[in-house]
Amino acid sequence: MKRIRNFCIIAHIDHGKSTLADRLLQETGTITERQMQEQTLDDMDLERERGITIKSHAIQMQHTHTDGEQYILNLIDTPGHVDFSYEVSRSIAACEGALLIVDATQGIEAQTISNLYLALEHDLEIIPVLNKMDLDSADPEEVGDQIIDLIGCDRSDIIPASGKSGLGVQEILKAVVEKVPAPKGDVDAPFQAMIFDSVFNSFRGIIAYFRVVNGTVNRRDKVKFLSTDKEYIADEIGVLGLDLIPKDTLSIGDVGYIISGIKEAKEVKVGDTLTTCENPCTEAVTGFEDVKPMVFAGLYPVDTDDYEELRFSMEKLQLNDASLVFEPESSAALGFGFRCGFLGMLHMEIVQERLEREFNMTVITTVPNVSYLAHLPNGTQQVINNPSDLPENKGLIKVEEPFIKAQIITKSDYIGTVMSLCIQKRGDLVSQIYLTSDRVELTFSMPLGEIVFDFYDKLKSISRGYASFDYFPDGYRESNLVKLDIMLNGDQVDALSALIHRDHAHSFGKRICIKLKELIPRQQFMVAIQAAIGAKIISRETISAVRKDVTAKCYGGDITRKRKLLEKQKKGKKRMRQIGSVEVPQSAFLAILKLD
Amino acid sequence: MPGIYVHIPFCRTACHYCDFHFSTSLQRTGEFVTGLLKEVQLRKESGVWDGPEFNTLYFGGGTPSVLPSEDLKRITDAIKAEFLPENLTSFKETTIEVNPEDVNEGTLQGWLDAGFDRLSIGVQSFEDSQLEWMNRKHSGTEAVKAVGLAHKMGFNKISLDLIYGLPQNDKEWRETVDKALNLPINHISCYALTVEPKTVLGHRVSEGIEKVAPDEKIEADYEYLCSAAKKAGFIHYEVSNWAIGEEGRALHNSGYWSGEPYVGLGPGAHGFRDNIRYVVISNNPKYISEVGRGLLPDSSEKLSRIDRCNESLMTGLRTDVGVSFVELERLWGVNPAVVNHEAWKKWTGSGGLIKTGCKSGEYFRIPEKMWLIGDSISSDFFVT
Ligand SMILES: Nc1nc2c(ncn2[C@@H]2O[C@H](COP(=O)(O)OP(=O)(O)OP(=O)(O)O)[C@@H](O)[C@H]2O)c(=O)[nH]1
Ligand SMILES: [Mg+2]
Repeated sequence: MKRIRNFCIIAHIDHGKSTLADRLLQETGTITERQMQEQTLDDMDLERERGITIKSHAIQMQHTHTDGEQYILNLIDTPGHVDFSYEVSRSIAACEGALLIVDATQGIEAQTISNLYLALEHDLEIIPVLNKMDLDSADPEEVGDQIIDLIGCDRSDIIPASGKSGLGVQEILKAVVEKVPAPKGDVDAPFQAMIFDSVFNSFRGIIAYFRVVNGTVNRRDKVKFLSTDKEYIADEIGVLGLDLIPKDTLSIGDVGYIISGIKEAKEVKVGDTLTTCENPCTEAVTGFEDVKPMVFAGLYPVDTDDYEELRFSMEKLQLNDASLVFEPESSAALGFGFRCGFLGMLHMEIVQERLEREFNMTVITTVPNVSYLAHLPNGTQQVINNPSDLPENKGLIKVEEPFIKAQIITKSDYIGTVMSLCIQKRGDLVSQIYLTSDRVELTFSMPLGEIVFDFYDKLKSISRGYASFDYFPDGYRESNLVKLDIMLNGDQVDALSALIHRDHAHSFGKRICIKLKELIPRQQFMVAIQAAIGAKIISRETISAVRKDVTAKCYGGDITRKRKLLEKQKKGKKRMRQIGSVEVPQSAFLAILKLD
Repeated sequence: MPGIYVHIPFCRTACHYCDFHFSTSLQRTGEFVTGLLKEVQLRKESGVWDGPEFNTLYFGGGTPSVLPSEDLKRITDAIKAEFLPENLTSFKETTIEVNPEDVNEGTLQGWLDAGFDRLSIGVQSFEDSQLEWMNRKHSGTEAVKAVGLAHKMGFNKISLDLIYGLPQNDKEWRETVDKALNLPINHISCYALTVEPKTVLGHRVSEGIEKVAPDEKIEADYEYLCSAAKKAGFIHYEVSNWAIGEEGRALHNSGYWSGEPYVGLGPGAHGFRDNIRYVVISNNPKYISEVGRGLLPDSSEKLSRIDRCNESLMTGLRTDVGVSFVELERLWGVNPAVVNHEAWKKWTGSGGLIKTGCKSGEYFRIPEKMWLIGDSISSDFFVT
């Protein structure tokens, strides 16, 4: 236990966490040259394709310290994108120290700060690392000042490093051993471990990952979760290398896994406490916050018959994505599905993609929205996670929408454009603080509903990538919101309804009609697309009818070819959803996000 | 009714829109005929065709009329010797596809002698500028003469092939239709110009040199033909086929649409029986050498029950008889209207599927005015 160190790597997105992790794995000989690739720990296809980390990833390393002793270093690489901060917070709860990586060419950015505070809240020892020192544009003086300012360390505490050249890797390992405290706990106390992640493996079933807080556990022990009291046999326990490495015993400080014949996904809950049945601990491990979803959207199977299948898939996905929450709902247009809460738009996109890739479930996503508060005449309040649930006008005193504090760090050259973007999104400037002579932190109070869609992308593009952004909930405020409905050939499509600020409703309605016209293919009859507020139509587009699609030739006996053609046509249609008489492709439901 | 299809893979010139298998080099027609005679033998010997009673014979192509009449006769004789049911002296229908420029007293007599009783004449249009655009080698006047002469020589089953949806004006199409309907014919096959990728036309369209006619034009052409043919006494019995009287329906093609077995002979021909569909190799030299070695150069595909159900549905909905969903379920164990109940609601509700007058109440068809979107309708009912 004295020779275990648990630490995570935290930073703003793209500052080089996963690349630096590669160097650590290499230096400690944890993976062979052959297993080595760029960002080895990003093992999900989606992560590799997008070049970002989505999941935290724990791995054990063996390291011989300068004192000649062998240490076990448990590293957790974390994602940097705002939407995955829940992954970071769970990792932090399993560690005693954190490497705070700062890109020496970029300086401190929004998630550098927010992730740092997360770590400080849990009393983690912070080791600041100035990364990408190999680049000519690295500015260690300036960025070093920013770090010192931020965490109040000594310049000599900051380790200059490079995930490319390997600079600083030895020093980092040394600092981890010397500065990060060994795990504390009582070996003789009842076994107590915290579940921080889990995954469904089609060969091995449900695998839960945990960090031991007190006591020990052995293979074949009878174990249980505190929240459910369900008992299992620990069929296999072990530690996390690049693959699973079975062990007979795990003890304080160990980061490990358990396979125990858990049947149902919902039996495992991230944050739960694992203990042994023989000598159970009485207290749950704390320090785990529940997720607060920021964005809600309905997820529906493309094929209505796949509802149950979708539920199973989501339960399994939830094992590996504790920030995903959902409950059943139904839609007049789409039938049965689930209202899901996401941490942001990227999170929503990733969930949709993972369902498709890992579970072969194609889903339709409804227009995302935030969570509103409706004040009813009887004095009660109702949380509205779905625009369709909003009571009619007369049943309503007022509607409040969630606000956030948005913190934007930008080069001072872009203050003007960032300001006008935020004001356009109904933001109010709260403060403006110069971090250095040319870096400014702007704080805005803004409706969350305005930033969930395309704010982040817009911010990046207007600032040429130089602005970074983070946000925190800031209560609810009354707003002049209207419900905008979309109708296809007169049938209202509840899945496309949105709550919009009255001032934006007209232009929004027009743009969405135009976008839908682009996305809905021509049908056998004319399709009218209308946007309405209440009974008032505010915009209309029409899609002309297909007049001819029959391939006239079907002779010479070549019926196969024709059949294959129609099979293909049918397959294309299966990815669409019938709304009244109109076939609507999956993509159209996300039209609102692609408005410009 | 079971039928026999013979593919004659030669043409004098290539039409710009055609992607059927053919060769424009006519040197090897002799070897081809020898090969074909051999293939007839091989098919017979294989024994797999012993069951069905073949009632129709159809020569398509390519252009069968490029072969000398003597060769055609040798082929029909050989086929009759092997496949004509004992109680018949000739097939119930023996059709040959011909081009107007090949029609003269001599050839007509030759075709009669070879046993053909039905001509399918590739007219396509009566407008010379259109014919030239398609790279056809006859004129409108020649086509009119050809039909008259054929009728005079004793052919009373004559079908014309026409193409609509050409980049022409409405007047030209109407004149073509009117001219056709005034000729002594009892059948019309009319196809919309389809742009196939591996053709001159396909190339021109993809290069942007040529434009396809808009849907509206295709629809207008089709509607004109439908109404003019009706006035002239034709029954519109399949999406692309019109006939005078019940007896005018093409027996051979109807066999394809009702799932009857058919033998396919010649390179590129398709054959079908039970759950096997095969295609003979589409390469004349290879065909000739393989058959010469006593081998049948087929590639075949096994059809599942679902494939067969989908095919029946697809071809059935192209006819005025339509399909019986109950019957499909009896045959293939699945009712496409039940598994696609959304489609059923949609199309019965919007008049895309109506009960037929022809058969018992179980039969449903696509009404004429919606046949042009028939692919959407039938694919909606496909079982997957
Ligand atoms: N030149 C240079 N490039 C680096 C260095 N470290 C990382 N990069 C590059 O920076 C980009 C981001 O690196 P990652 O390691 O994926 O960054 P990350 O912090 O893990 O990113 P997220 O997990 O998505 O937050 C990649 O293109 C790396 O090749 C470095 O030390 N020097
Ligand atoms: Mg990463």
